[in-house]
Amino acid sequence: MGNSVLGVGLTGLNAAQAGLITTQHNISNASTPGFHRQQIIQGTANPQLYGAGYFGQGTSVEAVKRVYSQFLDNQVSLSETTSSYLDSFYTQVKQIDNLLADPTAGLSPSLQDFFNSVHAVAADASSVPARQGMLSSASALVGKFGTLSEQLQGMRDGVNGQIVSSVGEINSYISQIATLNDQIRLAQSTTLGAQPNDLLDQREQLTGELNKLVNVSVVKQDDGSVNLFIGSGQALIVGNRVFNLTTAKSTEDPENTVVAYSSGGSTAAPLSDNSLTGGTLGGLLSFRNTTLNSAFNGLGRVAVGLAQTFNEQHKLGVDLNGAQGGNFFNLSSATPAVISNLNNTGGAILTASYTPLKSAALTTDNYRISFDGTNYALTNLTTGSNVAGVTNAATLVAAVGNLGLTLNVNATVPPLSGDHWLLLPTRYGTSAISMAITNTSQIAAAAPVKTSTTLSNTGSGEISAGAVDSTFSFPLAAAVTLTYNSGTGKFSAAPAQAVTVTSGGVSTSYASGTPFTYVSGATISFGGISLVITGSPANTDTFTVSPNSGASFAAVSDSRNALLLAGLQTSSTLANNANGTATASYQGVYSQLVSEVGNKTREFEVRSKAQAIVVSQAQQQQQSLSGVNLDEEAANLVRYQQAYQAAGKSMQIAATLFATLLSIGG
Amino acid sequence: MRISSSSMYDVGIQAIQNQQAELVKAQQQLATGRRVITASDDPVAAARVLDISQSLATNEQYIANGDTAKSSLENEDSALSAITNIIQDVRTLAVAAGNGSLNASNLSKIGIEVRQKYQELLGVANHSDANGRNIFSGYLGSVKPFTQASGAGVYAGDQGKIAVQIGTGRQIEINDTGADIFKPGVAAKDVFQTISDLADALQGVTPFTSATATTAISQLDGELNNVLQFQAGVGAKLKEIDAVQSTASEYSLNYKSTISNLQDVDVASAISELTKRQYGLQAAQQSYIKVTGLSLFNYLQ
Repeated sequence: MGNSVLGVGLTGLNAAQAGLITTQHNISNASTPGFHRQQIIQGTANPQLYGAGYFGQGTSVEAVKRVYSQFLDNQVSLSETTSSYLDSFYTQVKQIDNLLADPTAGLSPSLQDFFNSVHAVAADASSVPARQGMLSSASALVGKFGTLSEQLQGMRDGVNGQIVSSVGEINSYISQIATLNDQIRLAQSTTLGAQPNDLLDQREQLTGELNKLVNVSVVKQDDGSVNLFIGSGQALIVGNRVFNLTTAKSTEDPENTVVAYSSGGSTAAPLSDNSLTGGTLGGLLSFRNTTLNSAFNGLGRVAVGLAQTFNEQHKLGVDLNGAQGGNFFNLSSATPAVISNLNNTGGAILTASYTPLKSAALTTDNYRISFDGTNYALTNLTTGSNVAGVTNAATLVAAVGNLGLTLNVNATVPPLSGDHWLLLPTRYGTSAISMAITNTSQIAAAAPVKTSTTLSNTGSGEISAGAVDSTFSFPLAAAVTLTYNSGTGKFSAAPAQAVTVTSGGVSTSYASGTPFTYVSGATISFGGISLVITGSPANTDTFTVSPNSGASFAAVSDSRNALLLAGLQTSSTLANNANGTATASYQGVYSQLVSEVGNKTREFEVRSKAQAIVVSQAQQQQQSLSGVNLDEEAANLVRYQQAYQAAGKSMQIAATLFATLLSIGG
Repeated sequence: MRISSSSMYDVGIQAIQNQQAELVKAQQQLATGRRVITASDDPVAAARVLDISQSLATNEQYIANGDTAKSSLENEDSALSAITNIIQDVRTLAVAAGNGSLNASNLSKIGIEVRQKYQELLGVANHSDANGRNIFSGYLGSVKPFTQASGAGVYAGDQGKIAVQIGTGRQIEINDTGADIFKPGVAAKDVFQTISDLADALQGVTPFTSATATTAISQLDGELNNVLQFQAGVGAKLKEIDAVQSTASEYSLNYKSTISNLQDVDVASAISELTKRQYGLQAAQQSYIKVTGLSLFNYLQ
């Protein structure tokens, strides 16, 4: 029994030592990420029966376990996935927000400067400095579109780059987790159920980090290893097999880098952006597919809309050389774009161009055209819904026509089932716009016709300056004289014209050669020219509409067209409503974009902040259970130190007992 | 509740960072004077600011256009005054010549003076503004409207009226044409013809009778009346521009104050916010130091 006294003391000494070691381990790892505090599980050793009864045989350390709750750890991981997603989206969208709303860097100041310069030309069309000012501020506006386009393109490139590096990190985590899987499997098989706590901590830390990059589902196996799945169930780790992700150029939109997955030897297939949710990667993909597209398309629509409507009006004017106004802005053939999917097997060639005078129908959405072997379909990629009524090529062309575009389907070599095309109506608008004219004399400030009252008229009739619309065919071949007949109260035109008289909203048409009734203040239109005669003309009074163009052109101070160009600034020329009425000016659609991006940024800022609080609370709860409290460990140090000292003392007493026995013998 | 030591650090740091972020925001608002620094600060206000800025810029442009228009019209007004004076002078001369007491030599002297007035009128009719635009030649700003040396006016301009936008939906014509003012070639209305005919008669090219003077006087009265009508029109336009500009200035003020209300910071509340955040940050820093300084290890010897 004396032997056992020493032995019992020894078990206490060992247990205290184990407690001290574990406490020191906890203290050392107090700030190690992913560490769960550990405890020794102490139990009594099996008692022995000695005559009188069972005598305790001291203590034993049964296990070292980590204080771990799968629920709390999962909470942290889930909240962090969402948080990284929100942060990643927010970081990106904030850049666009800063870009657009800045009072000096945004588009608004350039747009205003440009139209101010058009007004300056309208106020003095013959002034070369004013004309030069208009060219310069137009160049500055075009330059601003270019800069914004480059900055947005830079963001797209940045997103692509980050996708590549995220995939690299994901692969690195996968291989580290696979290695830990092997170690844990081995450890558990050799130690019969003892948990390799620190290895488990490390693996959970890595899956947590992986989940910050992209949402991954973790499935625990009986042998202690975990299987990882991504997207719509693609395995990253199954047993001891590892499948890496790769990146590839999107076959649909070659400007985008997408994540691809290859299961054992087969060629990598792209994973749908929608299937990769959560985490930094999810945030990047979601940003690219929503706000980045909106920004590109929204700015593109301003550029395309401005170029088209301004050009249309400019072409109705006459420049300083007496020639018809040309395009003021150029739009390169880069926009609109129809991109054929790289996997297409058929040979149909689809191209698109803008339909003149339909800029207001342009949307800021992207579309997918698909062919199922029999029919075409047109899908709005923003809403995800198909445009109704699209079946054959003709209906497809009609549906695209409603979007302000003319689609040309060349199916000489027919398309095959599964062929896709991406239709981008305005994405490249900002990079496609450039100046079409370089010379101040090419600004078409004048109108192509002018009117005059014959000076010898005896009545008080007066004729307005006259204006032309898009149906006017340049130039007016010969002057048209309108002669009044007071007997019939009618005017006749020479040479004869088919005249329409509009008064009080009611139009009356007269066949060519038929005299038309005079109503003071009524709009008289023929051949795309409209004018108004007022007052009381006398019999045989004449008014003349003459060409204001050609080699002898000298109307340098005529600024009627410049005035109409300046008026475009505030007219609603874009963004048709459901009834096909344009609802917004250039500035209006730009403000819409700024507001949309601002709201999105705001939304993600608020959600991101709220999620940070959720993460912090989840972490605190998890830490509350599993984290190391140094004061607690200090107390444990004292406790185990004292237990050690006490056990030592008891062994000393055992030794004394033994010495007493020996002394008796001596 | 159990607290882990690293949580104590994390929570402390988090509190300090939050306070710093708010402090920086308050500081940024004060430094820029703006509450809405990017659109996300207040998307609705940001979009409205952009729209109203355009209204403001357009409005300011209308005011500038009004100044341009005024300058042209004032220029025309001076020219019309000069024409009025010339016509009145010629009329005075015609009255003097028509009183019947003058001999041929005296009439001829008056004739020289009248012919002088013809040249003077020609000069005014070909008046150009500071930018070199001939103010009476319509759209043909670079063309001299009248080049004849004597006789009826031969008009080389057109009947183009140049309009300037001085307000939303308000365009104002800033010129009148030589055709309207001088009625070149229109019998009994052409000022040049009238003055030239009078000079011819006075100088004996055509016979001078008392009827010649009477006709000249009556025609000059009509022509003067015509010019005065244009001058009245110019005066009315100038008055209108002033009124429109004054309204536009009020609009500008309104726009500016709306923009300011939408995006500018309320300095008093921003300073109070800044001070509050400053105290908040100090409190967070001090409590961090105090709390993290507490450890049982301090007492273990």
